[in-house]
Amino acid sequence: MMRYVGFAVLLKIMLADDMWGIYLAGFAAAALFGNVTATSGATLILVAFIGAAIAIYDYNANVKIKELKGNGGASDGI
Amino acid sequence: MASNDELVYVDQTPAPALDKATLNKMVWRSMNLQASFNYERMQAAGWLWSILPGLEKIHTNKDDLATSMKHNLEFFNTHPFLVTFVMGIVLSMEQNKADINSIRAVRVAAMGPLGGIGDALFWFTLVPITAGITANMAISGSAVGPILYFIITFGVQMLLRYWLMYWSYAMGTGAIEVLTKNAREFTHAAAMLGVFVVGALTCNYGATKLGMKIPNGTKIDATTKETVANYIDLQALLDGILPALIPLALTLMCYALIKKKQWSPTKCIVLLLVIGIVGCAFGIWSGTYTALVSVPWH
Repeated sequence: MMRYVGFAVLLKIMLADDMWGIYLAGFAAAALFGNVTATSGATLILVAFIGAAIAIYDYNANVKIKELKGNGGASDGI
Repeated sequence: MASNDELVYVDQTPAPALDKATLNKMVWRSMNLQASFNYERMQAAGWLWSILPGLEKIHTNKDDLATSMKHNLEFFNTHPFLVTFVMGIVLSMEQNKADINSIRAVRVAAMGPLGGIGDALFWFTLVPITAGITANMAISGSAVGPILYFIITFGVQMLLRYWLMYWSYAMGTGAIEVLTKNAREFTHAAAMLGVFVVGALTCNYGATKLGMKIPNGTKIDATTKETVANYIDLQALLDGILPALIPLALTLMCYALIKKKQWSPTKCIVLLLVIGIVGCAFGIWSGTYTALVSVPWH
């Protein structure tokens, strides 16, 4: 039970308001992979693949936006 | 100072690269990863102990060292054989004084999948197979058995620990230039990955279940054709609404208390203890124990 406090501390710092969907998506992905016999052993690896896809896409999109805006624009980070 | 909300280091000058002696020292220290293991932050204390020599070399500013030690004491759990991979990357980011949120996010994003890979490769494959073979040798009277077991398991993990440390440290140092150029974007993306993984961990590590089975008449067993007691299993009902609903709810409760009510983590731990103890006294949580109060559902 105590690990929930650890998660909560991490979320307090990392979870920006625009990321609630991402948190729930991670939860959903783990619920899905974790309960299918064929994938349950590799749940966290598979979840990380999806997470990496989202993160890389987000990174590339934001870098492109920044380059379009020129050096003056600062994208809204955390 | 005195808050763990520092986002950037005071001293922004990148530190000189860590020397081999320090890296080797940290490889050996990583053996203590699971020391002081606890259920709130798991390997956090062992993790900080392992990378401390590197942090001390990197952060010459005392306040920065304090900030760094603080955020490296947060929840951490990965496979002990593979931990040096995370250490290398985190150290390369610390060395370049990267944004603290990105360091944190990278650490969180790396630990979960490595834990999964490590369990599959080592706990379920290497160790059982080695133990199976060498234990058989020992049973048939060979003294080489236990020695061989030690040499294989310890040798494999030491090779991995060394190699991963140097490889990921070099990789992190190489990649850092591109990432610092787009630091904001990288931090945002890394935090997204981190939050995604924490969401998955909430579901994957959360094991709190209801143990309430309310007696509800009798039914005829389909195979034995005998009359058996019938129960309404509340956990099965909850799983129908959302699997791992209780871990999610408890995590969000702690989050709300910490974020909105400014509770300290210790206060949350006490609250969870009370919830656990009172719940078990009334037979609410699952497990093989006798409830203090005799209740019809446990």
